[in-house]
Formats: sequence, C-alpha cells, structure tokens
Amino acid sequence: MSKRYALSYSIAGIICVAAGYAATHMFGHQIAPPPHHVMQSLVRLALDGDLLRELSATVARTCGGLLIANVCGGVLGFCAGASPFLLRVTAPLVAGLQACPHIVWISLALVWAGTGSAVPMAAVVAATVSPLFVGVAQGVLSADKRALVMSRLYRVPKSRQILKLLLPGVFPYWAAAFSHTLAAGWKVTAMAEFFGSTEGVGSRIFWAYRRMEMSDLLAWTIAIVLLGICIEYALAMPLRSAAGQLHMKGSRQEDAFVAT
Amino acid sequence: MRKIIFMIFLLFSIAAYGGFHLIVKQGQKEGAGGPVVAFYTSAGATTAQAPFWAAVRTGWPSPMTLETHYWKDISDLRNTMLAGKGSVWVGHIDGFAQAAMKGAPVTLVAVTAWRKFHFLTTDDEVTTLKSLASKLSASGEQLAVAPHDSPAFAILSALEQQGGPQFSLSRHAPRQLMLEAVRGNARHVLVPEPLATLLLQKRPQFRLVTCLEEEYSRMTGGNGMLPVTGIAVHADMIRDHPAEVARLVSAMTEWADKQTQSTAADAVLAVLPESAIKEWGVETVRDSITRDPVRVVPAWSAREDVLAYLSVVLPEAVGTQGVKLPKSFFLERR
Repeated sequence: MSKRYALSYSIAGIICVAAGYAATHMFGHQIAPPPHHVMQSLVRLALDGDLLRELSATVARTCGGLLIANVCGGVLGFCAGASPFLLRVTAPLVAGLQACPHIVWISLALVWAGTGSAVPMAAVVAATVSPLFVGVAQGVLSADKRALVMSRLYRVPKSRQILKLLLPGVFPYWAAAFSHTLAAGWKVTAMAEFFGSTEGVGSRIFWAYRRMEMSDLLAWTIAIVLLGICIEYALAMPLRSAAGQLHMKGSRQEDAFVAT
Repeated sequence: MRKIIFMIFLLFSIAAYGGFHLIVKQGQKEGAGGPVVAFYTSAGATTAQAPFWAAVRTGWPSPMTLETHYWKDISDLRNTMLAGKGSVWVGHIDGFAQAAMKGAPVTLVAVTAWRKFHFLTTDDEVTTLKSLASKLSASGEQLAVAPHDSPAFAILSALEQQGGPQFSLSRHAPRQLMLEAVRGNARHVLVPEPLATLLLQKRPQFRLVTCLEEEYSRMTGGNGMLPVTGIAVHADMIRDHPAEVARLVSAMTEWADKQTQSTAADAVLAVLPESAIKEWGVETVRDSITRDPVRVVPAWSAREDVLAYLSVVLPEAVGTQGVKLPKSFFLERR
C-alpha cells in the first residue's frame, strides 16, 4: 500500500473514532458507547469465535444466492441474447424484477419459507438475478456478429464458436455485473437475516438492537462494514477493472479486424 | 487476475466454512435421534413459557428430542407458523388466531398468561386511569406503549368504546422504551410484565397506576384477567402424538395448580431456562410474578374467555358474523 493511501485511510479512521467520541458526548454512553467499548466488544466476539462463525454464515448464504443467481441469470441471459424474441418477452419481466424492492422478496420468502437460510438466499437471488441477466444478454448481443458469420461459413463447431467467440465477448459484461452483485449481495443477505434468520450477522444485529446492547450492535456493524470494504476493494473493484480492460482489448481487436 | 482468483478462492473458503457450520447445525437438529419437538418461544417470556418448562422437567417430550428456537417478534412467530415450522409455540392468543385463520396448522392447547399490561407513571397526582388520561390530555403528552404490536392497543381501544378514557399513544420497542423511560423522556407508560417490574426497579420515580386487564374487567365485568398468551401445537403433532400433547397439557396444569402466591416466584425461577432469567435478572422475574400470576387453563376450558377476548382484539376472528376460527383451533378434551 502506498504512503498516500496509508495516510488517507488513517485520516478516515481518525475521523470515524472522533465522530464516535463526539456521539458519546452528545447522546451518552447508553445510546452511543465510546469507540473503545465497541472495539472491546469486537475483540470479545472475535475471541469467542462468534465473529468468524456468523460472518461466514452470512458469506455462505451470499455465495449460495449468487451461485443460483449466476446460473439462472447466466443461462437465461445467454438464451435471451441469442434470441431476439426471448429478449423481448423477458425484458419487461426483468425490468419488473429490478424495480421490485428487496424488502418485498424478503417478506414473501418469510411467509413462504419461514425462518432459516432460504430467506436470505432467496432475497439475494431475487436482488441479483436481473443485473446478471442483463449483463450476460448484453454481452451476447454485443458479440462480434461478423466473426460469428465467418466461423459458420468455415463450419467451425458450435462448441468452439461458443468457447472461443461468444464467451470471451460475454465475460467483460458478466464480470461487470458480477462485481456489482457481489457488492450488493451481502447487504441484502444481512437485511434478510435481520428479519428472518437465527444465524448470521443480520440476526446478531437484530438481537443486539432488541436488547439495546449498543456496543455489540456497533461491533457487528463494524464487522459487516469491514467485510463490505474488503469485498469491494479486494474483489469487486479489481473485477470491474479487469472487465474494463478486457472490453477495451476486445474493442481494439474488433477495430483491427475492421481495418484489415 | 491472479489476485482476483485468490480472493474468490478465499471468499469461497469462508463461505464453505459458514456453509459447513450451517449444515452441521441443521444436521444436529434433524439427526438428534427420533422425532424432534421444535419449541418456538420468546427469550423474554416468563409466566407464558414457565409451565412448558415445568412439563419438560417431568420428562416431557421423551422419547422425542426437544430443540428450542427463539422468535424475534410477533411477525416472526406468525411467519414461522404460516410456514408450518415448529411443533410447539409460545405466543399471543391473537397471533395464533390470526395465523390459524390464514391456514396455519395451529391448535391452542392452553392459556398461560392472564395479567400482563400495567400503567406506570412518574406523576404523583396520577392515581387512576381517568386521572392519567386527564393529565396526558392537559400536558399534550402521549402514553408510551411497548411492544409495537401489543394487544394492549386493541384492549385500550375497546375500553374507549365502552366509555373509558381516550389516550394519545406512541409505539415503542421494549428496550427502546426502557432507555427513554430511564432517561426521563417517557413519564407515562403501558408495558407488559416483566418490563413493568424492570422499569419500577430501574427508575424508582415510577409508580404503578393500574393493570389494563383489571380496568377492562371493571368496565365489562370479569375477574381482572384476560387470556393474553398461551401455548399452541402443530396440528401434525396432535395427529401423530395425541398422548404426548395430552401429557403436556396435564403436566402444565398440574404444575400451575400446585402454585400459591408464596411459591409461584420460586417455582417459575426453578423451571425457566437460563436465557430467560438472563434476559431480565432473578430479582425482576421474582417481583414480576407478584403482578403476573401463574395460571394454566386448558384450551377446552378457556374457550369462552378466549372467544370473548378475541372479539375485542381480533374482531375479524370473532365478530358479529360469528366465529371465523377453524374448528381445530381449540384442543378438545380427550
């Protein structure tokens, strides 16, 4: 990490700690416990093993939901991208799905499935399937049609057409959509756990709120925010940048093809 | 790219650990040996769940295995019942009725809590419900009520319709209201036991004005008790294990019938699980029992009381058009 980043992160950290103490001063210890109490709670939760167990449960549900969303969104998006008719049929459905607030899916899953892992996973699938569908369909639509026609003329096998032409073209679009869903997925999971689960960070936030254990509430908040920052900086951002680079590379190859 | 692959691998490793943990937990529940009785309760329940734990002390539900789950709020419990999860539930009678009307396989087996809601105030001039209403109306303050979905709202509204005082109300989460009250921001409250006792202990300025159930009985005629909370079981359990259900009801009733005013607090403390005692503290539970009597009435005996209560708090279940509850809602005597 460069010195410039280290300095900016330190300043951001100091601002957070100062804001924490200011809140304690303004609202009192019971409502806004001082940052050192919150850190003590965080350390206690980490040493008890609760932190890793609950965080990993949340991550497992997010990954499970994302896996299902990728399979469904990927297959449907691929088919829709390849068939204009199917795209016209599914477009309004996907638009509707995208417009639907996450809380609706959580409420429905709560009624249909009760509590447990089904609620957060269903919510993640509902929240992330549409961007993945759109991303993959867009990728297929923007595939180089001339190269596809040429490969058909030269009777290149279908599997090779998909592997060598379509998938590399779809990948940047899928990667961009996936990075977006990765960043949003864990937030949806935590929210669904808050309402309808007995494990996971969201559930622990609920119990801390219910019992007004503010140190624990803030400690879990810090834990999930750190998880989000790690996912964003270590995975989502590099994925987006890789997708951008691949897209640029693809465009340059296309330009070169047209020029020749 | 190598960094991304490593990060995805790391993320999936954490997910695998979490998934393994969740699957093991689920496996423990399912493979605990023989049929499992899933008991859904509230960590904060005292008299409402004590009879159940007293039955467990007698060996119930052996040879079946008991596993305990805690519901978060009334909506959570209702969703659990609608999804058909659980074998035995502790909850509000109106919540059971609501779920049963929506097709949940719920059968009420016994009523376990009868005197829950208490008015507290810090104002020395307030001595009756009427004076509390006048005080609030004069000062423009609101009566703070917890929890958000308390049946106390419906009882208060029924009181008002019977010519009782009118209140301007504000809804709060229990612990949130406790903090507000301790900080002096809420001076007049209507809360259930044991929260009422906890408030009396935490803020000595608070005084008990009256009990809502008593006020309602004074207006409508009654014994100062309302069937607020009870225990219900899944219809499948009645079909598959009728003897066990009968054993549960008789164990709960026998335990409650043995209690007197002097023995109730110790008996409740002796049977309640650690989690419930931790939620409130020993002294709070002990004091609370003096206002919240131990009384268990089987569903077949409490039918009339429950129907009268539901006509107040859930008119869509028992209204002018008759009883809309399914026949199986009340456990029949065998």
